[in-house]
Amino acid sequence: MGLRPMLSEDSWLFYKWFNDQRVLADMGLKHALFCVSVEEERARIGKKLSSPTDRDFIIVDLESEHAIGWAGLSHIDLRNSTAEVNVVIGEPQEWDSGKGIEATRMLVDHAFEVMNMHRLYLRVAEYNERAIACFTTSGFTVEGTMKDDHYHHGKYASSHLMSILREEGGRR
Amino acid sequence: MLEGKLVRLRAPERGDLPVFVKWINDPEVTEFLQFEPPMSIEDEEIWYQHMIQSKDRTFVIETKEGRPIGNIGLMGMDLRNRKTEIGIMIGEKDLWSHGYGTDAMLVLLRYLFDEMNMNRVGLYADSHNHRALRSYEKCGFTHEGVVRQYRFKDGQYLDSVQMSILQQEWKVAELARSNDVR
Repeated sequence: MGLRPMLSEDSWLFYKWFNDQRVLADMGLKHALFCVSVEEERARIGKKLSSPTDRDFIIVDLESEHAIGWAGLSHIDLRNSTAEVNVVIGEPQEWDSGKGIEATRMLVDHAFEVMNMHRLYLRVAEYNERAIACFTTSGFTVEGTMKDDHYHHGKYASSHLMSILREEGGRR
Repeated sequence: MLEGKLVRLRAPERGDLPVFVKWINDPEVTEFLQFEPPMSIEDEEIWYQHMIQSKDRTFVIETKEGRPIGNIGLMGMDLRNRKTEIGIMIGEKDLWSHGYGTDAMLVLLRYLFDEMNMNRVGLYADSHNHRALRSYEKCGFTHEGVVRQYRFKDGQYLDSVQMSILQQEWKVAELARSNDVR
């Protein structure tokens, strides 16, 4: 597995992943992500690429050279050395293969060792057991629960706030 | 994409506009719809530019084989009052009365009620558009009343029917549907 920088032409990957209800279902999105068009994804990726508070990578299977997901930092705060972590495996056939854990590990290492971050955090929907297991294995711990913070499948659902500090998760 | 039994909904692309123009300019397709034909491709591009910048959303209805067959759209989505209006058109006439419109409507209603937490979805239909009225009733819409002389077409005013479905009614209908499957 490897991470490479995200490029403008990757917008078609996000078009595919973020139109797949299997991928979207567990993300616990707070905003309305209806069907997204190629044009909208291109604009969104362009904005992220030029933003100093975002750093995004494409997760690549080095054997097959297939792009299988997205790993990125958002809300990068250099003053306090914090950032929010996002990891999405967009190809459902790659789920439960341990690749998400490996990608998370690489992103966390990059954030601590290259970008000099101190704290990484993320929000994960309570029903997304696969993601919770991945982040727990990667060294994240639950700090708290945001009760009923989004509406999902006909009722309100909660999210967990998870984090990892450099001294907890630095290179072992 | 939102997947139904017969159709899926996807976002419209600029490349879809020529087929939209074909549908809108077909008098049989727009007989009961509030369009003002003729529409040029330039008119349609102006509409598209306006739509992507507004809160209104239009979706392309396509078959599972990827053939675009119509549009379904949301107008005046209101998050505080948790309501929206909905409109639908099947532009490919050979697929009328095959359940595609009903399926597309159910897919979008499911998203609006179960994920967007809408409380009310409303629509207006021509009072003599029997094919549409039957489809809306099948989806669980209730007749609220007649809106008199709501639109002007071919030299005369026509009455419309106002219909709506509430979240509570949707949940009951959805439960009945899932029991039918078992």
